[in-house]
Amino acid sequence: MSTNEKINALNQKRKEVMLGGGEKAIQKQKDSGKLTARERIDLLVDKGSFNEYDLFVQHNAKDFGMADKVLNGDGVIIGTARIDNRPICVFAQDFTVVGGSLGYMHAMKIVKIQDLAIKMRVPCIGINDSGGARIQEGVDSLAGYGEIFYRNTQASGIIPQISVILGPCAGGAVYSPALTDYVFVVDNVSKMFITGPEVIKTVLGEEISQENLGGARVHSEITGNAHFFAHSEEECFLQIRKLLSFIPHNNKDKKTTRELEKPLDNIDINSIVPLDPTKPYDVRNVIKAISDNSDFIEVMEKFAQNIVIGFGRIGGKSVGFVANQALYLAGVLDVDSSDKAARFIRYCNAFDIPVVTLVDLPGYLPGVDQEHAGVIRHGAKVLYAYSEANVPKLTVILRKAYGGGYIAMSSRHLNADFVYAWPTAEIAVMGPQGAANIIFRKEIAEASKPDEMRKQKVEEYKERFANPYVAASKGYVDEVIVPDETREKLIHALSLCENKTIVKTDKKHGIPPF
Amino acid sequence: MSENRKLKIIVDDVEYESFSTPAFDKKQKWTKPNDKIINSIIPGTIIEVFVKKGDKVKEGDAMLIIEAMKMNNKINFFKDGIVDEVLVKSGDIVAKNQNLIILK
Repeated sequence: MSTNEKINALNQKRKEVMLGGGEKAIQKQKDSGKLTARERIDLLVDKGSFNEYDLFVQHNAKDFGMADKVLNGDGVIIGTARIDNRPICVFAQDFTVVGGSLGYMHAMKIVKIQDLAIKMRVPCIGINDSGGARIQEGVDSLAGYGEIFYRNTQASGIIPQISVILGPCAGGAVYSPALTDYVFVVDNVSKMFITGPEVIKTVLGEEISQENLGGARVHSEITGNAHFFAHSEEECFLQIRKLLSFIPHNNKDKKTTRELEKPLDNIDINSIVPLDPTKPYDVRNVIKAISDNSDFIEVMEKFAQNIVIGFGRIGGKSVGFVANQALYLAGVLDVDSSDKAARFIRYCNAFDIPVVTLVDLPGYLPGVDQEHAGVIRHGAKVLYAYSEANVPKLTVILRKAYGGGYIAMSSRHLNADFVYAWPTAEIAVMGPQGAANIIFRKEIAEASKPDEMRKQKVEEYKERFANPYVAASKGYVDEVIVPDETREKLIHALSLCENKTIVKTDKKHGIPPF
Repeated sequence: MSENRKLKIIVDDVEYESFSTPAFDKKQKWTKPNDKIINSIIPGTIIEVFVKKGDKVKEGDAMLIIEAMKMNNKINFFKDGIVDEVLVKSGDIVAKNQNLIILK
C-alpha cells in the first residue's frame, strides 16, 4: 500500500466511524428534535477548534453476542477544543450508537478526558444523552460509572465541571451531573430520573410522563437539580459560553478580570428599594445597577427564587452575588434557598471569587413544613458556608436585616471584610411589630385602648431601632452609604482585598451540615 | 412572574407582600396524624393480610406482609385495638401513605 493509499484508508476509516450509529439512527435523533453529538460539540466550541481522541476505541465485551458487534467510538466522543479562545475538555455521548449506552470502554474514554482536564487544569464539559448502563456489559458498566463519579469528586473545586443534559439521563447516570458544578437543561429535551415512568407505573401504579417526572422545568423549578434552563440547545450552548466568561477556569486562574465597564445608566439605584419594608421589588435591579455593563448571569433562576445567586463584574473583577429577593416569599431563608445559597458560596470560595451579599430579609420562613423539612440543618448551611469562606466577603444591607437572618447573611460576626448599610437599612433583633408585642406586652395588655398603645409602641420601637445607626454605633456596620455610592465603595473594597491573607490551619476539612 | 401567585408572608407579626414560587405552591398543609388509621410506609404489593374486621389485636401482632423493593416486609401492629376496616387484600398494589387498616 502506498502512502497515499494509507492516507486515503485513514480518511475512509475516520468517515465511517464519525457516522456514529449510521444515517438511519441520525435521522431518528433529528426527528426527535435533538442535534447529533458532533453537531453539539461544533456548536459549543470555537469553530474548527475541536480535536478528537480515541476515535477508534472499541468495546471489549464478549457476552450476549457483543463480540461480533462494532460500536463506532463506543457511543461517546471525547476531545479538547477552545471556547472564547481558551482550552476546554469535552465529551458528548452519541445516542445514535446503541442509545449512547455506557459500557466499560465508553466510560474509559470519558475518564481519559476527565483526567486530562484535571491534569491540564481546564474546564470539563460533559454532554449527556444516554439510555443508561449497557446491560450486556454487566458489572463492567457499573465499574465505568464509578470511575467517572470518583473523578467528578476529585476534580471538584479544582476545575469547573459542567454537565449538559441533552436527552435521557437515567438511573446511576444521573449522579455524574449531580456531582458536577453546573447542570444545564433544555426544555422538552432533557430528562433526568433515578427510576423512569415505566418502573414507577409497574411498581406503584402511578402514571406520569417523562417530562412531568424529570423534565427540564421540573429540575429547574422543583428539585433544584438543574442550574440553567434553556429553550433550545443553541441557547444552552450560549449560556455555557457566558458562564465560562465569568468563572475562573481553574482554582488558581486569575484571568477573569476584564477592563472596567460602567453599569448602564438607565437604572436609578436610589429609588429601587421601597421604603415600606413590606413592599416587594426586584433585587436584580440593584445587582444590575452596580455591575459592569449591568451584565449578570443568574444561576438557578427558577429554583428557590427567594434568593438570587449569580455572577457579575465589579470594576472588571468577577464576583459572586448572593441577594435576598423580596419579590418572592418576601426574600426569606427557607430550606431550599439556604441550600442554594450555601452551595454557591462554597463554589465561590473554592475558586477564589469574592462574594458580594445584598441583604433584605425578614428572617426564616415559619411553618410546620419548614421545621419538618429540616430548616435548622439547612439554614445552618448558610452560616457554615459564610463562616468558612475566606475569599473577600462584602456585605451591603439594603433594608431589613432582622434576627437570625441578619447574622446568617454575611454579617460582620461571620467575619465579613466590609459591611455597608444603606440609610434605609433596619438592623434589629426582629421586626418592630414582633419586638414591640414582646417587649411592651404588659403595657399593651393593661392599656385602656390596647390597639392604640400597640401602634404607639411599634412606632417608638421603629424610631429607635429600625435603622442602621444602632449597628453602626457598635461597629457592626463599617459605613452607612448612599445607594449610589455602593459601586465605588465595592470597587475600593475589592482592591483592598486583593492581598487578603488567609491563615491556614492543619484542619483537614470541616463537617458542614449536609 | 406571571406564573407566580401574589402571596402574603407573615414573619414576626408583619405581613409582607410578595409572590409565590413553584415549589411553595406544591407544599401540603400539615395535619395531625391519626393513629387509628394505618398507612403504608412504602409503596409495594400486599402479599398477605392476617386480620379481618372485628379482630382484637395486640401491639406486636402480625398485620400484613407487603412486598417492596424485592423484600417481603412483615408489618406488625404498634398498638392494641379492634380492627374496624381492612382496606386491602393480597395482590393489591399500594402507594406510600395509602390507608391499609382502620382501628376502632
